Amino acid sequence: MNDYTLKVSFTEICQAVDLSEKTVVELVEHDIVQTQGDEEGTWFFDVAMVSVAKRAVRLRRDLDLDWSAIAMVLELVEQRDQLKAENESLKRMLQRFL
Amino acid sequence: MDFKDYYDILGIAADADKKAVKTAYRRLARKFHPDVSKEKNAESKFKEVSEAYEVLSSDEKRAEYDELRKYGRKGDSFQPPPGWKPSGNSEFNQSDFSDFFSSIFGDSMGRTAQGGGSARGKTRGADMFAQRGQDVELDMPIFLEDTLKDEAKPLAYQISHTDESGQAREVKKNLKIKVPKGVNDGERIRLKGQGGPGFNNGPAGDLYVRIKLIPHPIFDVNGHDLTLTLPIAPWEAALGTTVVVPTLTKPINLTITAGAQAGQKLRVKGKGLATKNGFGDLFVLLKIVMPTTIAEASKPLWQELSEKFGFDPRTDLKK
Repeated sequence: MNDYTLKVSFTEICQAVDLSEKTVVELVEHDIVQTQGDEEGTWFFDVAMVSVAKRAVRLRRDLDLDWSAIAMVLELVEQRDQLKAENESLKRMLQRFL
Repeated sequence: MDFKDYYDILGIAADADKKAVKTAYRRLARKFHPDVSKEKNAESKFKEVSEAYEVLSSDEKRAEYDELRKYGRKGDSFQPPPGWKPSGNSEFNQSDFSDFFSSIFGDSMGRTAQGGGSARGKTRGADMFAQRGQDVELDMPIFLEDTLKDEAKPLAYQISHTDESGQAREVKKNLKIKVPKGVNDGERIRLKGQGGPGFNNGPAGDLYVRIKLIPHPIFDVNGHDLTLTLPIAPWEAALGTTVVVPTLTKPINLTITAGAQAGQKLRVKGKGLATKNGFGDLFVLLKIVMPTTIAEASKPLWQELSEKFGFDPRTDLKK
């Protein structure tokens, strides 16, 4: 059986997204990725944050956006996806109920 | 290989200036960027738009392309003219670009579409160093029932990998993964070193697995709670009853008290999905169902109910 992890370290997220430590700190400061832990040296991240950081990097490269705009885009996209999932779930329940 | 009309892809005229090229790219990139778009085929359209912008935003590449455009039109079968040598001067990471692009400009490995995957022409400095393999992301669909089991789930996948000699290879992987307790839809786990192989003895990349709960035919998921819509007869709602109700594990007996209402939710504690420390709940949503046909013999009984009890379900509409 293969072992998995649910968290990545600060160094690992820098390596996985191919970003400098300074840029990852910027992502944290803009609340694009959220940390678990108090100090920079002991930061840990949920595995999902790797995908979020990769997404942010692609948006910056492809759409020429700054981090503040990316933070807003990601938040709105997340809200849209949540609403879409909720809507689909409610539609399914309504179909069962009617 | 079909000829690609990059001007047509960006929706601009052949004499469009650089500013118009950039504006068109930005507009289409916002529309089709796979990280934000819900458009159909967004990813392939975005690649096409990026490729067009890569060519038309560079004076050098645009001049090369315009020269070739004299020989081909959109949808035509295309081969570069005899003696055409790909410039191979692109610094952009064009690994996802089309064969058409590679046939004109070459690719990062120095291969051309004409060359059909031959070894690279030159070795770049960076290639001499060990490089980490690519990370791989994939979805793992799981039945709700399986989230409650302890057994490891098999996961088979393939990784497209270009080895040190420039040959494209498919690496097949077979893993067994025990789904984390309390996992929810969309959560991710990482398997270190199970991504693409490294280059020049570099470490392998990682595998990121996104858990996707497969929609269940009778249960709806809300966080770690489940909802089951339970049909009951009008007399069961009126008189109360005990019914056998399915759960994710084994059926249970559920008591419905007299006077139950349609839409009423009954909570069955601990019969939902696993959480980190326990279990969510099962909510049973009551749905009162009339028989599809009213038997002739039952009509006097309904009539009696109607006459004896002056129930008006529409009082709210009369206010």
